[in-house]
Amino acid sequence: MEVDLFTWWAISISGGSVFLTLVSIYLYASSRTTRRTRDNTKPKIVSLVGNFAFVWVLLGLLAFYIISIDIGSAVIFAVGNIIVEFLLVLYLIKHRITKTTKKG
Amino acid sequence: MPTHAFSTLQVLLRQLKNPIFAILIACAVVAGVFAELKQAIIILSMIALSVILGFYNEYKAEKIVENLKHNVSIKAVVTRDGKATQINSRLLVPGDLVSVYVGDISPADMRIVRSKDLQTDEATFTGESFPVEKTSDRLAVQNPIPQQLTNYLFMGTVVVHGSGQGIVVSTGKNTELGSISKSLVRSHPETEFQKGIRKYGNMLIMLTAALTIGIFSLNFAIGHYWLDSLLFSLAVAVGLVPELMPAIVTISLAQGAGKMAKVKVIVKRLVSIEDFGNMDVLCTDKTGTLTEGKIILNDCRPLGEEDDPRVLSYSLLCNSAAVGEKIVGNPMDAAIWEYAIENDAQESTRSYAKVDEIPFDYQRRVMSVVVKKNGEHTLISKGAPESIFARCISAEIGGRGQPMYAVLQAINAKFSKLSELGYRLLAVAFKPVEAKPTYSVEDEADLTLLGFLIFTDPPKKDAHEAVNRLKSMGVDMKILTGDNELVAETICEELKVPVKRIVCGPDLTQMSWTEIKAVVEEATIFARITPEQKLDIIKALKANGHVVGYMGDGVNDAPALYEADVGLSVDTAVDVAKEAADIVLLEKDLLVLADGINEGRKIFGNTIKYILMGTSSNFGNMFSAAAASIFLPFLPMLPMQILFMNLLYDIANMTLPMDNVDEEYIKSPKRWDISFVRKYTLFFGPFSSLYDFLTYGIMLFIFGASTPAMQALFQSGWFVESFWTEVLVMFVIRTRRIPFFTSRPGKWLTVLTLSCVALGTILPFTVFGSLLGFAPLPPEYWVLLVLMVATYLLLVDAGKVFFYRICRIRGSE
Repeated sequence: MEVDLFTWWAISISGGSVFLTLVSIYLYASSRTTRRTRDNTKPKIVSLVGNFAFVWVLLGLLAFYIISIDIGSAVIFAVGNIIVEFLLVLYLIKHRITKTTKKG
Repeated sequence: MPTHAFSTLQVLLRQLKNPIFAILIACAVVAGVFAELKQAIIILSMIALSVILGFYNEYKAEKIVENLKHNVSIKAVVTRDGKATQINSRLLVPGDLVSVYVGDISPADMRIVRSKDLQTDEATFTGESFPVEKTSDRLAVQNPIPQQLTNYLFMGTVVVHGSGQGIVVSTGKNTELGSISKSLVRSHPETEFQKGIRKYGNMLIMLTAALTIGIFSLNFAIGHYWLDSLLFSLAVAVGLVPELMPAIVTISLAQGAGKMAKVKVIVKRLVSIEDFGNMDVLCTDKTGTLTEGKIILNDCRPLGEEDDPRVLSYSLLCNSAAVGEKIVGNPMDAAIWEYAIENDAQESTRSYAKVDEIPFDYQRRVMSVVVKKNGEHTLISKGAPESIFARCISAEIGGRGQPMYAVLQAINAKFSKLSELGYRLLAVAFKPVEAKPTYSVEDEADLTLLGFLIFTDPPKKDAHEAVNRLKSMGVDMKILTGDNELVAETICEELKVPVKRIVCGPDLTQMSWTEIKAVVEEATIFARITPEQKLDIIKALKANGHVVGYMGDGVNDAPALYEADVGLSVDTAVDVAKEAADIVLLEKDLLVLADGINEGRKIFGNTIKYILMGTSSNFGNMFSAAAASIFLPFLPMLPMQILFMNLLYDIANMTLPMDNVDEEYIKSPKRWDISFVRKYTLFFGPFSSLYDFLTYGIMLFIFGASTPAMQALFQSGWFVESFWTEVLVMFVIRTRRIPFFTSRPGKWLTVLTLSCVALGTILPFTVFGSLLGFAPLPPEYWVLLVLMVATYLLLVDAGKVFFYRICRIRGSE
């Protein structure tokens, strides 16, 4: 069975996203292992969902990109990006770090 | 001394062992043969620059040995067959009888058989600031350390007083000094930074080899023309290699060295700057580094509570120093004069007239003068406390005379305590005498003890502040000294350095390597240690994973300076120590150490930024290129387009060494952590790939560039997106903070980067762009590109939150 170009593309971008998700899970799990040796607390489901907010955004973006490209609409693609950017800015404001810099 | 011939060519060839050069040379050949000659020339220039730097450093190391040999090439007065002749010290053999006089440098290690008031300066050899008295007496201690060998003359030490004769025990390389030079006959050990670069190079070799072979095989297997496949896979390899890294590192280091020179810190070995910044343990010699390395009179103390100016004025009268424009003579007598001048007390002697003098000698260890004031004669004696005590019948305490036998025990206890704390003491005594033409040693009896003169080698004025600053920067200080433990402890108390544990040289001798590795972690002071033990301590600290700095100024410090990741010395140090050091402080201002560490940390930070970008952004781009080459009916980017993008990207990075570094980054030492680089690449690399794939989607399915006829449009679209993301992500990756808002990039970095982005953006619309195979892009593309890149940069920034704050991954970033 011959796979068309779009399927190839969707597989590639999904593969990249899944890889990034797996790396995130691996990094999170290994950091939890290190921390568990210090404090014996188990992560709560709520905090787990919160901690992986970045991954949910990523997977959401993946779905949105595949759909918008499939439709072939530049307008949907543009609007979707703006919404995601807004969400990411909110996420980053929540985790803001404020400090000054020194001249290098 | 060891005969050591080194070949300049061998030193040069050794430089090419670094694996990153192999990749770079391969890339230069590929670029030169198949692509652009200019690219090949740039890569080859970088290789040449690195080779020259490495060669220069190693060549200099070899010269150290020659210098050492030159320094100790001296003449000796030898008595053979009853005749005394002067010969070159190289011709001495064990068993020769050699005579030494004031100013001579000992030509060999010798057992003293005859001595007259013999004193030597062993400060640069054992760390002892005060002249050491040498006699022919048998030693009372078993297994003595060099500092305890009072009947032994070490090669290279200077006779400062008296004369003596000794039987040569060992010559040349078999002497203590020779063993030091032997340890310098080897290459400079690899610094932590160099190790990191090597590991990184190995990681790149594996990545590049796997990708190149994989891409070529897959492309060839799916039917692409073999030469296109080969060129493409090699271009991807070139794209992966950070060929500008040697230049970035060199520029950073040279710039840092320039800044440090302004604060009188001379960097002799550029590569040591980054280890200087990452140093987490600083081992230091005591004499001349933490202390002034000079004897000063600390106090003139009478026996009672009340001050008595006679202690100082009597010791000025009973003094052998010549006072003119400069004060010359016995260091202790000179120190008394310096103290008096500083305290405006020299006038106190004006009303006295000197009648007679009984000179100092080493049997009596006392000097006396007879002075006259208002017709009354007084004999004043000054000397070693035990010799003076023996000549006293009374002691003046609070203006009242007390019998010596009644107070001797208390005075002795006080004297012993001060001696143990590292102070040197002289006692002052006096008695009224009758006027007579001459006086003799017999008159030095029935004296009244007046007080003590307390001498010390004081800590440097800024040493306390420097120690505190280093501590706040995460640098642990350890003192390695030839002096006894009490002296070292006193210095630590004065500098307010908390002492966790003291280990002495003889104890260290009994320990196994495992025990030494454990003890170096706990101990703050290592006292009475030999140069070899200093070396062992540094090796053990390095084996425990520390980046170790060593600061010293004597001959005995040279091996340690050489072995440490960062060898620090001062301008007043002996030549051998300065030669062995990586960094030399021109002024005795220890505070510049902290400035230097800051500079090193900034340089390391900017180097790491380049590496992280290279292995994440580049890797992501090249990985997506490889994946696309499989399912696309044409190459996603032509080899020359990849090479051009790579060149443009490198130009954008040229000002990275001048970038700002976040304040929190330089607060603590950083380590080269290859596992961190791996994690970083694994996590941040795919971001770039995802957006490359997204661009493929846009070009293929929104702009319809899915056929070989439309490949120029596809390649242009991906080139611009890839370049934008690759370059602009630098502003996000360069800091853990919010880019621009809480961490401003360097001015020149911003200007150059944005200029390169502008150049890359207009390229498809230019004639040169069409020569490279690009085509103009439609207006809608630019709108989508801006939105897409904005999302990408925000997503990477959100990824930083996940990576650093949620997963709490720490490393060399």
